[in-house]
Amino acid sequence: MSKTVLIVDDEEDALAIATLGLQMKTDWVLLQAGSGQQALDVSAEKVPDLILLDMMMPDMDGKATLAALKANPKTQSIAVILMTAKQEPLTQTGVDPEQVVTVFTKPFRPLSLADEIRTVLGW
Amino acid sequence: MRILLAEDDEVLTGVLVESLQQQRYVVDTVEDGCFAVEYAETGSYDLLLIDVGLPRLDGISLCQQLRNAGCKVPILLMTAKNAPNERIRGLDAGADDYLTKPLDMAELHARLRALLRRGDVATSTVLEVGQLQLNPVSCEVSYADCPLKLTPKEYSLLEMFLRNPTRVFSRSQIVEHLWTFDDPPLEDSVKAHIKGLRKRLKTAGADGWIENVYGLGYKLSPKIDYEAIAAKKATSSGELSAAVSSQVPLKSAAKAASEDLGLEDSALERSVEAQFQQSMAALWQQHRALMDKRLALLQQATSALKQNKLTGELQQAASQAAHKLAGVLGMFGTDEGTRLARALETALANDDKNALTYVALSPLLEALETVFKETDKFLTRFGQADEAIVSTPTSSLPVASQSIQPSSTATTILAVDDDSVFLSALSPLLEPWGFSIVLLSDPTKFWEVLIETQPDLLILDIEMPQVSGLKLCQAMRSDSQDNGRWQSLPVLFLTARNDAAGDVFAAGADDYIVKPVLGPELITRISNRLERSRLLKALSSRDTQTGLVNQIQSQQDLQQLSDRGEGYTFLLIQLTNLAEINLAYGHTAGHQVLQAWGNEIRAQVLTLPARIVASYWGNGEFVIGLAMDTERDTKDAIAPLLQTFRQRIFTALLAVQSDTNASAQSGRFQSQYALGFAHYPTQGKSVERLYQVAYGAMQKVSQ
Repeated sequence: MSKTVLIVDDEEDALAIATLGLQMKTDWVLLQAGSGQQALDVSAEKVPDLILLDMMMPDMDGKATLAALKANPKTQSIAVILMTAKQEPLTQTGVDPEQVVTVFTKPFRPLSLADEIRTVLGW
Repeated sequence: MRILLAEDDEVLTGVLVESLQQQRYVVDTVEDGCFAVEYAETGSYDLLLIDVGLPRLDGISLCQQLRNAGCKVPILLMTAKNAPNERIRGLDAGADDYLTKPLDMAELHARLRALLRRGDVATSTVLEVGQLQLNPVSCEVSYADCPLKLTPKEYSLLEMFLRNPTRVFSRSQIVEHLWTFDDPPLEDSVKAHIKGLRKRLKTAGADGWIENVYGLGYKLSPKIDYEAIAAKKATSSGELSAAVSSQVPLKSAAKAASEDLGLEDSALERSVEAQFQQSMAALWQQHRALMDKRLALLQQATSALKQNKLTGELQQAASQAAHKLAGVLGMFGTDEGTRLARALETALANDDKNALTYVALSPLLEALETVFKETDKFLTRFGQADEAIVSTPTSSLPVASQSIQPSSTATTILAVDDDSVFLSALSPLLEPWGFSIVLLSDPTKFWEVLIETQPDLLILDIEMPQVSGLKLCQAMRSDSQDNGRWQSLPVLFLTARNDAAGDVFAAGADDYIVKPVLGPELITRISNRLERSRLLKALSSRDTQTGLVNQIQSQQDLQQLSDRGEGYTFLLIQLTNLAEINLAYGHTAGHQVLQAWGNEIRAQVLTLPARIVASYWGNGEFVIGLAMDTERDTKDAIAPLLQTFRQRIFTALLAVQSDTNASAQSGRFQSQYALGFAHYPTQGKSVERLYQVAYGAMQKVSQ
């Protein structure tokens, strides 16, 4: 069965590019969310296999969204990959490394994103 | 910006500190090498300015110690005059640049600016693709941590491929890169060296890395073992990868990925790529307004800064805009854009008001604006060209008229055929090879489009309803306007007839191909034609050693620059020790030096965002005309080039028996240069006069 991936980013261009890159290289079902709250709603409803979560968002940032995801039994087992444009180690953000699969640094190559995901998740 | 100054001469320290503080640097001073280590390791400095002759621990050992400890801060060494070996040792130890005493303060500040712009220095210069590593400093090659023994030619070949990972090299290009003019090999021996290199790579486990591109040459085609790399990463690096490996069955993942890669047909891959580019072009258009808004914020902040009116709010908004641009520009394929945006973000996020200056921001912003324009050009061209074919297959296709500017670097091909279906098939065939294609299905517009696009090669159909291709070709060949510039344009005919040869050559064509056209054949013939025409052009206007235009041609080019009515800077770079190099290491070494300068000038100067003429006048004299008004702008613009050569250590290819010079025996040497500036029109109106002024003003810089 084809995988479902939710992409979360408040920047509509970044969102569109990531979606495009994955669209071209995979047959995954791709969902989009433009904010942390939207991400929570969508993931509770659709329970995707993976969430690509942008770190820096207004109101509810990646860290807060992650915490909320992990607090909800419905969504806590979904794999999460963080996306960040900051080049700082994970430890400095206060995110528990146990809760995420890995961190992708922006900018990523849109066409290699799918392969990177496959590599870390074993799809 | 914080600088650590390590210098034991009190007088010089005083002078330096004052001068640096005037430029708003924060300076700490230490008097000996051991203190310097402590300071450098505990404080966060943006640059270290180190004297070579320090007590307790000398400057070179200091460099070495810091670099070994993973310190990436740029280091500028101050060395004594006439100590070339000291400089070479310093660079080997990890210094980024050096200055000779007595110090020229203006020069010092220019170097500081150049180094600080660059930010963190990579601790290694190792070229790495997958598990293959090549270290240009030690000339060592390894695959999967096992050392690889290569012959010098095999090594050079591999280095060439690794430095140009996507480029296809024809045999003659390889000869040009790796052999000297005095000692040209047979093309067959290129084949032999390639074969040797392949064999050694294969033995090491890297099978099939050098691909044979049919009819064209060779290219690097890494077969990356993701499995091994991932396994290595998981065992060697920090907690994050540890977290990954605990959750993920790494092995199967990597296997799936590499299988995936292996199965993918390269043609399929290319069409995905092309399709993707088109969609990216559409996205770029769609989000253009957003990008422009971010750029506008940065422009606003920079000009506010210039007038000293930058508010905290605007600064923060601009910093955020830079952050967003950094995240997204790289995805549109411009890593440079990301780098610049990141630098702007860092600068704007700095709370220290003294560090945030207009001088620091404005070059970054300008460069970023250029990136925008380039991306625009690149992506819109992609979108438009293809759209035109798809949407208007029957009407004429003067795609050229609006969007494509004649460019000196990309090879432009103009294809004229009344069959637009055939034309549209040409683009996907030729574009992957880096050609830019202009299609024209209405031959009545031929002259217009020809003049507009100034193609490097023309593909013509013989039989077209309105005009015969043969007639067009004849007309071009007999047109003596504009120095008869169409007389030498390579022309390839496409024809369905088998008996056209006589007519085609009589009309002045260079070659012809019988339809149906096969991709590889077409590409080979095009490359042959282009190579030949470039060679002919080069012989008359280019210097063969440096690849730059020669003195005669540059006179014309400089004249054109002044005809524009704007000022420009005439820059004379003289290699002062060329004769000594020739004497000590042979002319091969001298040639190597000239070639390196030529290459770097092409890479670093001709790419600057200004009108430029770069030429080699012989006798070690390079002449560059830069449409920049002040000497300082020009100095900043060429600073990276000069830095490259202060860092560059050449190794003589041939061991020359020398009894004259002790350092010659090591076979390692540097090129030294002197600079002279002259400004048009204030200091001279003729090229000869400018040369005289610049020659007179020449300062010895790297003595």
